[in-house]
Amino acid sequence: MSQTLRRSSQARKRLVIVGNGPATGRLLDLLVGQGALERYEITVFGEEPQGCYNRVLLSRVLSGVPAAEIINKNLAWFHCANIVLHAGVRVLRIDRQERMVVGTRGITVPYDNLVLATGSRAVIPTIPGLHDDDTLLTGAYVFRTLEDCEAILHSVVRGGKAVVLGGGLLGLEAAKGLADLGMTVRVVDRSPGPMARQLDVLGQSVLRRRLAHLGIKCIGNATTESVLGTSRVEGIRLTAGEVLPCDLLVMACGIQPRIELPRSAGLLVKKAMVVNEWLEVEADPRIYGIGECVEIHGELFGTVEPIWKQADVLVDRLLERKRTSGFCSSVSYTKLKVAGVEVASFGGVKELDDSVEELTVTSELHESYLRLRITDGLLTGAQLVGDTSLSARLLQYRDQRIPVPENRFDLLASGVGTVGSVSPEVCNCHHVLESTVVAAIENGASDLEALGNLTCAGTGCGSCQSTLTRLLRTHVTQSETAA
Amino acid sequence: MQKVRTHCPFCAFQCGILVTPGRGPDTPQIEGDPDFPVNRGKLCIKGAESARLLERSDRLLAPLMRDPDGVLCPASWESALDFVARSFEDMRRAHGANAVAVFGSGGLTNEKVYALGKFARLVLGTAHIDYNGRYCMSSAAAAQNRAFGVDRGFPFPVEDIPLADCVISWGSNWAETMPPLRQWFELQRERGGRSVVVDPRRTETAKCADLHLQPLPGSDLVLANGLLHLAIESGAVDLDYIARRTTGYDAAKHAVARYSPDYVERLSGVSERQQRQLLKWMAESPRALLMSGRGPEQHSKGVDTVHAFINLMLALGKVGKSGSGYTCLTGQGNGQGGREHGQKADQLPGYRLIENETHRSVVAAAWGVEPESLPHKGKSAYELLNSLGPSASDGPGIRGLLVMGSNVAVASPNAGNVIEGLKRLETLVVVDSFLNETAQLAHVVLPSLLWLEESGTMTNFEGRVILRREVQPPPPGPLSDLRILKELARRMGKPNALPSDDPDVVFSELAAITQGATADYSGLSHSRLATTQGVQWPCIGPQHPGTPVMFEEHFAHPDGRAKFFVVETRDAAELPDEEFPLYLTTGRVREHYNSGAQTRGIAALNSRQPEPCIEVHPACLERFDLAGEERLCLSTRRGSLLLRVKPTADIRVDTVFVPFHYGYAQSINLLTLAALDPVSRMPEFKLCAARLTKVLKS
Repeated sequence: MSQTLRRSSQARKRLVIVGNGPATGRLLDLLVGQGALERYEITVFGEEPQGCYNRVLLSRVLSGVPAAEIINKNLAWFHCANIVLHAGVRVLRIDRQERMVVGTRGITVPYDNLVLATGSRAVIPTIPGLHDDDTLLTGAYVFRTLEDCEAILHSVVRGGKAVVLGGGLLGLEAAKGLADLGMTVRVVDRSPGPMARQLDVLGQSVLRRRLAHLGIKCIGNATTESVLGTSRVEGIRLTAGEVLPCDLLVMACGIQPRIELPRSAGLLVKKAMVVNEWLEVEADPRIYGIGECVEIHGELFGTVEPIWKQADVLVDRLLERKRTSGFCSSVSYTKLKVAGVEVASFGGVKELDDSVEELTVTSELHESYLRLRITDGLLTGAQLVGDTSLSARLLQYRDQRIPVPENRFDLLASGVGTVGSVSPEVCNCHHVLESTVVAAIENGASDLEALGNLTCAGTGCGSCQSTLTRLLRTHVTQSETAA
Repeated sequence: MQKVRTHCPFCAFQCGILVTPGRGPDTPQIEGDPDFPVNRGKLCIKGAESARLLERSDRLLAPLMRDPDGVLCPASWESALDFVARSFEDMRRAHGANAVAVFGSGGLTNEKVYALGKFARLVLGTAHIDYNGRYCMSSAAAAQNRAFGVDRGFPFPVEDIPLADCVISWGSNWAETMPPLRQWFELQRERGGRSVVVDPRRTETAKCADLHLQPLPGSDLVLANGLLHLAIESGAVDLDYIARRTTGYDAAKHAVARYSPDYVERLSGVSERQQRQLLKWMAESPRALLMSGRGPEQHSKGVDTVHAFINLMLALGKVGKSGSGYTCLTGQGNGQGGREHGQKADQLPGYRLIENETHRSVVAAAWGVEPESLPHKGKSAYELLNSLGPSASDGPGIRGLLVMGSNVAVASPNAGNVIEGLKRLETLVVVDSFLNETAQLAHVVLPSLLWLEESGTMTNFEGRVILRREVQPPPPGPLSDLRILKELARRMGKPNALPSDDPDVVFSELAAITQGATADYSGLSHSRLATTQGVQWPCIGPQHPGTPVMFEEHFAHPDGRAKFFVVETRDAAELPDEEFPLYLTTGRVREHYNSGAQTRGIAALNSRQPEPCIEVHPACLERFDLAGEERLCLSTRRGSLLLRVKPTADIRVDTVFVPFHYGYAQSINLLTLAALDPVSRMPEFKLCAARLTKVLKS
């Protein structure tokens, strides 16, 4: 038995994965599920100590859910799956000649195939006063890891003040989390309003008003001149001169790919590590990249959907299956995950030109906003604030390239999925609608027989007679009362 | 004249009917049985008109055989049966036992199902026996077996539906296809319960609902996983229940983390608001019931989709109470019993498994043969029909086929391919009462009895075993299915393989052999059933009352727990593209039953739905510049049909719907795709890519 095992382990190739974020989590699920362990001995390096967790769900942790709930592969999982995890170990360099990965604590692992999934890090803006020596001033945090989350939770002061730098999706999620924890929150952004990457100025202003109802005040067109406080954060000063006192400063100013490792290994790096549509590093056939640390044809990725598609492609490559058409990105669809405010957007914000048709609907009173972009008769973009129930349907038009109806306003009729406007059929055999039956009762039909004579209802199989009786009971009384 | 109490010939509801036998040539009168607890006197139009089957002038009264010119001509029973027996025997000798196959039906009584399975295994010795139930509820059955350890369509009596505080009818249009069911939902609404319908079409069922979700065909799994995601996010899961009664929750929980509302919106077209509304209603209902029909099941991911449903109901802690949990609305009259007693490729009587050594031994001993002599698992329905002719893609082909009670030429996916296969057979034998599309291709047609002319038991969608009674004598000519099998067995040298042609005797053998099995009928007999309104299995002894409600204490797995399964969405086998830009889905209309072989011959029914219409949204007609056309050409990669157009705003703009009850040039299954679910082998009837064009005028 052990003989067999050893032989098979000798025959297996060594696959090393650097990074243990959601991209790796997905990749491992697919590899394990598709029998890759027969072919590979897998080793994973993860900088964080907990195992693999779902970063997208961090705001749940901010809202009080235990961290263990979002960890989908804890240390025991790796143990059971027979995958070596070096948790809390940072990779220092890659030796491509010797095909070795060298990490901290003197850990060195040889590879036959290497997957770089180093992800990205939060951007820390250059603001005077933000740093205390090399580290961030106490009370100032980014919102990226479980550790960040724990630090933020630790610094929360009920009734205190918080400032969030950056009004993008992550900034608003953090802001809502802090508001729910009882803090007064201000969101500071260089753009005129929140979610400037997804919404135009009008949309931003509607969103700003909606957020204000949740106790989140957005300050737009603002840059931070300095961070105030010596031993801990006490506030920030804006360039315009205004001072915002605060107990907690959260920075959500975007992310940047972590590219030091591929760069030092001599791999091609532009904005991120360059891979082709099969996730291959073209200069080194043993190395692949996936997730936020890669760029494909100049495009970078930061959401779940494209990265899961990349995982599908990469598993096919690693298992040496027939070459598929490779990874191809699609327009991303963004929804704000903040309870109480609905925002949906796809297609981005673009300048108007003559070939583009725009459809804009605003209701000041309902604080809702909708803007659609139609190009050559096809829906290419949408922004919805306040009520996004139409967006699921609009996506179908976009994704399936269904031409927008000649009467553009037909797009807005949310006919799909609502009930109540249509009269149900009461008598199945003779296709008689409830409205027809009610009309007959109002015209004097007072029993089943009369209804049958007038409408045919109830004269087929008779299944509907109890419904008819109920309608008679309700409506006969009503017509009598009315009379 | 004395009214006789029996049951409708059609669907899995098996409504109780009272029959006043006709005098002489008069047709019997049929009315609903007010005392039968399932339909309480109600009938649908099909049931109300069912006696018209006896009036059909095209009833087959004598066996038919091909004359030298290839024309089907009347023949004597002796010559027809001799021919069939000799032909099958020759094939067996020349090409092995697996050269002959059997195809059964979810419309056959339990006795026939049992006898057919025994005939295949002992007389023909073939591994290849399957039936049209594979096209019906096989996905729901497989998922329930895996999750609960047992598969019974409804784990509680139908009269407990009104207990549900919220009912989700997912891909079932019961208001049209099973109208007598409607009364239970009306009661449920009167008690203040909510009703939700999930269907790409705004059906009559949907119009009566409090909420209608209209997802993209094939996105049911995404939507169900999304609901579980929301349940976890909102803290609606019942962690205590999960810990006490289930296994595998953590893995399922992590798997649905990806199914955030925006992802679900994009893939299903169902808005986040509707997702949240539905989840809220389910979570706040002490009893919530998710009931699926064929809509989400007839897909190449049907089993996984049902797992997603069951995961959701388990996580919410709803399974194990009457009127709550997950149920599947079985379609065919004996869809339930049909999958229990041995006409399925992988099964032996009592829901035993043909690949389980213990099960093989028990059945072999009861049948007086060696376990090794029993064939192993054979091909599933479509795979069987895709192997007809001298050779198949995976080895020797099937040269002889006995079809009993199924119209495979209409009911199968990619039916053109099946019809070609049927034509390649050396001997096709069809047992039926009418010359349906499959029988037209047969070498021998053997006429059988109609349901009022013989007795037998059926097991309805609640697992209720009921007795159908013989009401009137058959006309001279046709023989019962049991008699036909017995005669063939005798001619093939196994006169004692089948117990009898008396249904009562066959049932006794069946009941005894199921003792200790999952579907245990051992406490039942015709005489006991005659004095009851049916008994729900398992019923393990003459004094045992049956089992109306399952799962209250434990599930049927050895550890007593239900299992979560990690299920992920995957693409359908064929998705719309530029060439074929529409989703084609299929289903039923209220006037017809299955392939229409019975109902198309009843004028009162057929005159209301004489041909299939294509349901299409006016915006879709506008999109392809087809508005105002009376007929359109519908094409898929398998072929084209000319169909009458029924414009309706009740369907999604990207989807068209065609009913499947029609034959020849009106058979939508000529266009459907035979992609199969990897577990249940269910074909993907509910989704393929299609194109609509104008009819070319010559």
